[in-house]
Amino acid sequence: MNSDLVANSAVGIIANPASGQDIRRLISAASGCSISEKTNIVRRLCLGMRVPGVEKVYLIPDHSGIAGSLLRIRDQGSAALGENWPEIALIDMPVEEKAIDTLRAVNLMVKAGVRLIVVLGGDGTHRLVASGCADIPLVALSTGTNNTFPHFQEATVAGIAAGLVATGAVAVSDATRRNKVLRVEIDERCCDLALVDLCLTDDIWIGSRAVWKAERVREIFVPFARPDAIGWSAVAGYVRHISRESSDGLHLVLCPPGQGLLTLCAPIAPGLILPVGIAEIHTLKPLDVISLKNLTGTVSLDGEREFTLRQCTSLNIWLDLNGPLTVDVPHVLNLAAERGFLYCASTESTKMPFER
Amino acid sequence: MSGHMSKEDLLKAYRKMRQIREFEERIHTEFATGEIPGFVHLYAGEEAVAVGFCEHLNDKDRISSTHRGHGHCIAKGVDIMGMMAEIYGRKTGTCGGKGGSMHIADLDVGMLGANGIVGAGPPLACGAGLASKLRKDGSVSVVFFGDGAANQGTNFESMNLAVTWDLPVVFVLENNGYAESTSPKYTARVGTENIADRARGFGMPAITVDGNDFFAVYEAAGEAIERARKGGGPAFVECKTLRYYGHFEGDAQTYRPKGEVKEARANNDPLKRFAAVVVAADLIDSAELEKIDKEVLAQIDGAVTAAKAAPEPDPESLFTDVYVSY
Ligand SMILES: Cc1ncc(C[n+]2csc(CCOP(=O)(O)OP(=O)(O)O)c2C)c(N)n1
Ligand SMILES: [Mg+2]
Repeated sequence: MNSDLVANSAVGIIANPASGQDIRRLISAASGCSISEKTNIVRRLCLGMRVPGVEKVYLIPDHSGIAGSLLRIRDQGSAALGENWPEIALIDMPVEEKAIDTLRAVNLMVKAGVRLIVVLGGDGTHRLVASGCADIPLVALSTGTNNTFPHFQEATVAGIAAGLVATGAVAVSDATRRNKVLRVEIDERCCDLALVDLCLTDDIWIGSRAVWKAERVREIFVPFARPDAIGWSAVAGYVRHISRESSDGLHLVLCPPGQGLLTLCAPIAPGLILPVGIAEIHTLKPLDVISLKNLTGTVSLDGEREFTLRQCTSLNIWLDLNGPLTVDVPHVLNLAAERGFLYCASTESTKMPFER
Repeated sequence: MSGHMSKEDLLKAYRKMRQIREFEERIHTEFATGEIPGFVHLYAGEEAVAVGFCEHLNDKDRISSTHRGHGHCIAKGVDIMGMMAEIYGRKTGTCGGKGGSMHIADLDVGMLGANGIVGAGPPLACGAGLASKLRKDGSVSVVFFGDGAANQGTNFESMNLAVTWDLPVVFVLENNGYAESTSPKYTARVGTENIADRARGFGMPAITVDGNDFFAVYEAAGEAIERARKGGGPAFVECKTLRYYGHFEGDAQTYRPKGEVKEARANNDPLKRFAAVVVAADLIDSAELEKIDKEVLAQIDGAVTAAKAAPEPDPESLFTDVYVSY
């Protein structure tokens, strides 16, 4: 294995206890993910990361939630099953059970010098992490079936890949790709981003956040568009395939089904397939600012209503090619397999690769 | 439906929340004088849950409630004069002054009763739900219950029954972080953060919402109730909220973090948050809300004055309303 491996390689894990719990379980057939299952996923991540030698994992200190259960499971798993765990370090921060926890934790993880952050949650959780992680690579994992940015992947395997990158066995430049994002500026002050989609809706409040009434969505902006996506980004994907690597984005103006240029039947949530009318299609070029005024309604980011607009609000939206770095898990594992990184020390040895 | 409340609907919902708040604030003050008999548990701080749900219900729909039931009663349309008189133990009370705070019931508006037994509400709602189903009358039942009640066997049995029989019942968990003085974090392994995790295990859709955000509750409630009404079976909505007062009036609250309520009243108050949304969206101006505040204040004042002046029940009435004949 690579001789200049990083000493004290540390990884942050952001597992959002609130993901997989929202109204989409009621209005569609979206999957849910309990805290117990999330804890189990984090356990598998930790065990996977230990294979290439990750020493330390930082977590949000939610003693009553994921972190608390994880410590218990670690003690049981080490004692009864001989599991090999990295050190679990709980970040020193207050827990408010709000989005601010994620922002705070990412900030402190970056300060603690983590080499990589594994994110477990939906598009919304990834968006929060992306807003604070700068160039620390992310392993983006979905807790459910309702997401487009992160992948639904077995955590043991993702943990091994994360460990290979965090320990330097596979270089960040070989392991990651750069993502596009949409930036949004409201009244030239508050700036936010979307990884998957930004919608303008007719809702008058943020409420339960999800966006599922097609007749209320007026415009959609996406940094990439794939027809195999789920959610509003799928609508764009049906109109035009725009890869995650290309330098374009897409902007659609919607209309009632049966009117406009075309009508699509799009999966806007798991099991919820609705007709959507498309009135206009525009390509978004990097840094071309779309300025909008005199709007009412809400702005949703990655499927969740975030801001309400007043008549006087001005909105600037643009495509930025300089979004977060994400680890390509299959690619990293291919490289590791090709280079023999995951072999035990010798045919007689059953020691982990990092124990050589 | 959700997202399309008229201005009239919005004002009505605000008035209900204000009525609950004012009712409870006033009882808090009056209870300290020693004039109110029995025990009271106040609902202040949790208004968005009761009102967010009951705004989707009609008189044929039924709710079951808890020991902290004043908010549910007001939201469901029980007469405020009668409620106040009941709490004072007067003849003019909703139940003739013989029930008090924890037994206010009014079947005419579908209020099956406040309830002193923790965990007694879910089976009642299932019974009402079974009646709706057999009669095919399109009514639904909603059970409000607490994080403490969520640990009761009656609740687990009810969730199982509701799913098995496809009953039109919506389980509304008011997770206010305390069962008397104990946090749900110490009483279970599954559901320490989201008790909805447990309900999912019974096979019904279960979600968690911000119970202090009227609009989040209202949307979730609308979807869950409509689903049950159309034959979609039970659903579970956990509302995260906070009570502003002690478990009961007189509770020293030594288990609470300092400043918890002060912070919530300032930054997470359901009425303030409601007002902020409707004013920012230019739907209602603050003067209209203030007018409602004044009217409600006068209404509660009138209810207290009338209750204090009302007669006590006659001794003979001890022997009535004890058994129901069928
Ligand atoms: C069967 C039963 N057990 C215990 C009690 C005593 N008791 C009254 S309220 C309460 C706590 C209820 O907590 P929760 O369900 O969270 O409701 P909250 O008071 O928070 O609204 C308890 C234990 C009771 N009334 N009934
Ligand atoms: Mg409670």
